[in-house]
Amino acid sequence: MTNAMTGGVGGRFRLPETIGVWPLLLALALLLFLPAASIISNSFTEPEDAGFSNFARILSDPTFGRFAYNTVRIALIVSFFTGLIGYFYAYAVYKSGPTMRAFLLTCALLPLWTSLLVRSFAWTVILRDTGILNWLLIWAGIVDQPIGMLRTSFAVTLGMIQILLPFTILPVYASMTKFDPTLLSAARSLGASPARSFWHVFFPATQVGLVAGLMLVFVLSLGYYITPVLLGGPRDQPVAVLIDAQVTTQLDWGAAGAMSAVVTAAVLLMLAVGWRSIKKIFLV
Amino acid sequence: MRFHMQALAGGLGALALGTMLANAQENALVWVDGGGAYHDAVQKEILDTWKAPDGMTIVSVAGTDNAKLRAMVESNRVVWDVYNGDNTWGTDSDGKWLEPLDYTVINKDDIIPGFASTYRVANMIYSIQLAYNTDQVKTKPAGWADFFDLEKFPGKRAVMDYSAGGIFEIALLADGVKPDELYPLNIDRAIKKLDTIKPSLVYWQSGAQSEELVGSGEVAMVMTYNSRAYDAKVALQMPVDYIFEEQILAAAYLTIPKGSKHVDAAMDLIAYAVSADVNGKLTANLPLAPSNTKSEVNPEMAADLPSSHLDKPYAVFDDQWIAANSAELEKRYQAWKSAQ
Repeated sequence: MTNAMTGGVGGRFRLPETIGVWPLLLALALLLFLPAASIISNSFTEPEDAGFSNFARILSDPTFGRFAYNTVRIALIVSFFTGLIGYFYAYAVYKSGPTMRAFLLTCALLPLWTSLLVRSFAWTVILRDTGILNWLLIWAGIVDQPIGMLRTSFAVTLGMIQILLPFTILPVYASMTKFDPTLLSAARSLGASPARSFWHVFFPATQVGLVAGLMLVFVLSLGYYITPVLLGGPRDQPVAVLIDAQVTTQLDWGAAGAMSAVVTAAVLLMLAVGWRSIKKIFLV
Repeated sequence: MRFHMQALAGGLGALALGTMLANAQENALVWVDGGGAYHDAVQKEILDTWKAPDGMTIVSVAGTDNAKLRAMVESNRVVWDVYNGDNTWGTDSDGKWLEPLDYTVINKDDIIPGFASTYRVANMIYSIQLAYNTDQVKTKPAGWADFFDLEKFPGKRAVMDYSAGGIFEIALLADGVKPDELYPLNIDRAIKKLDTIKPSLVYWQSGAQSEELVGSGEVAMVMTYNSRAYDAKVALQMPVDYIFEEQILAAAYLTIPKGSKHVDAAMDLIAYAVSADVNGKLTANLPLAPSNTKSEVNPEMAADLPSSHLDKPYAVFDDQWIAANSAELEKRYQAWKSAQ
């Protein structure tokens, strides 16, 4: 390739093309990787001769297993529903005219501008026994007694779906805007039904966005704390709750570090798996 | 008190913030407490009236956080000077993060016996008590046994979501254990009793939440701080009342983080805060009893002070035992709470 030779003609020094990314990488290193490494290193240094004893301790503790199961279970359910709803919402946005599209996108983004705590607390006001939803249900004569919705798996799933929905809508919508609509016309002209051309042409081409959105939601769900605490019952509590207790009340940063390491490893593993599938979709 | 959403990030944030604070206000004494109405009362009655050494300013921060304190001490960037922790904080097992108190400066003769030790001195007495929604509970409960009696008193119950906050203690008291025989806690027995009302339990993470739960009628009864029950009833005018029978007494403690740059001034401020003349002044607006036996209290508040009800059965948290067994308590609590 000859174009490698043409770059350096103007001056003696040539800034690398990646230089724009360096400040971001530096910020990430200082603000994310370094602190994360220091937290995880606690798992080996606390107590001083800890070795893998903190890991042995938490991994053999059935309670940790139960909290880990809660975390993954909720993340899977939330990912499934945000993927389903998010894909069709994005499709509605894609199909709308300019005004409707702007309105739908604003509706999708609006929750992102409100604090997570406020959004979670708002759900408690809606869902509790003396809340708006139960009041409406009783007023409409659908039920006689309030339904216990708050502090259940239902509540935490509902709340997290609403909060995380933008993270599937946006990547899916982005992948749809890149879709070449003439492909659909081609499919139709070759005799495919609308449903067939959607599932065999449109959906595979936009799957990239869906996978990316699902990965984001799943990974974010693994670290959720405040929403499960406020909306979930005792059997919906995630690992983050255990970590919090170890850090703040027990001051056992060895155990907290080990738990954080396990969650981080799970997240990295998921990202690695997702990365491969995203690449595969790109190559097809 | 507990509600640390970004505990991990917080510790590190504290370091960055701490450095900035330290540079900006080299000669500021920093007082930290749990916040709320108490924070304002401390400011007005104690910090504003204390004569600080020349050139020293005083800064009051809301939000105690044991993890943050530990992070400050271990990174040698301590910007907190007086730390007002709860009863589980400051026992000898926390000594590695605290300066020993100087009892030649602080007069402990008038402090209630047992409430001044190597690293901490109590500055007020509060209690964990039973409060109830008066719309739902028409007859006054007599003690924790009624908290566990769903037939006589239908409705949900809210408990503090903290293994060392008294949940095992109230279960044992309800099960008939004598208040002075609570410790060592029989955790198996407590869990067996808790299981009898487990489906009706709601867990609260912050004091404000406990008021909201009982005040809105979402739960019929709550175990909470006496100051919170008082706040719900008197300040917020909610349909809430409370009993002092079988209350569990606790104290808030003043401590000095190890490595504080103003140890002498901090010692002086602590001596002032627990002195006879000053210590009772928090009772002007809050039901928090003085730890100094010579302090006078606001006569209008007397009926709401935990210390005015020692003729009724009451228990006292054994902080030393709790500190020595906190890991086991936490483990059993989380295992029980999350179990199917």
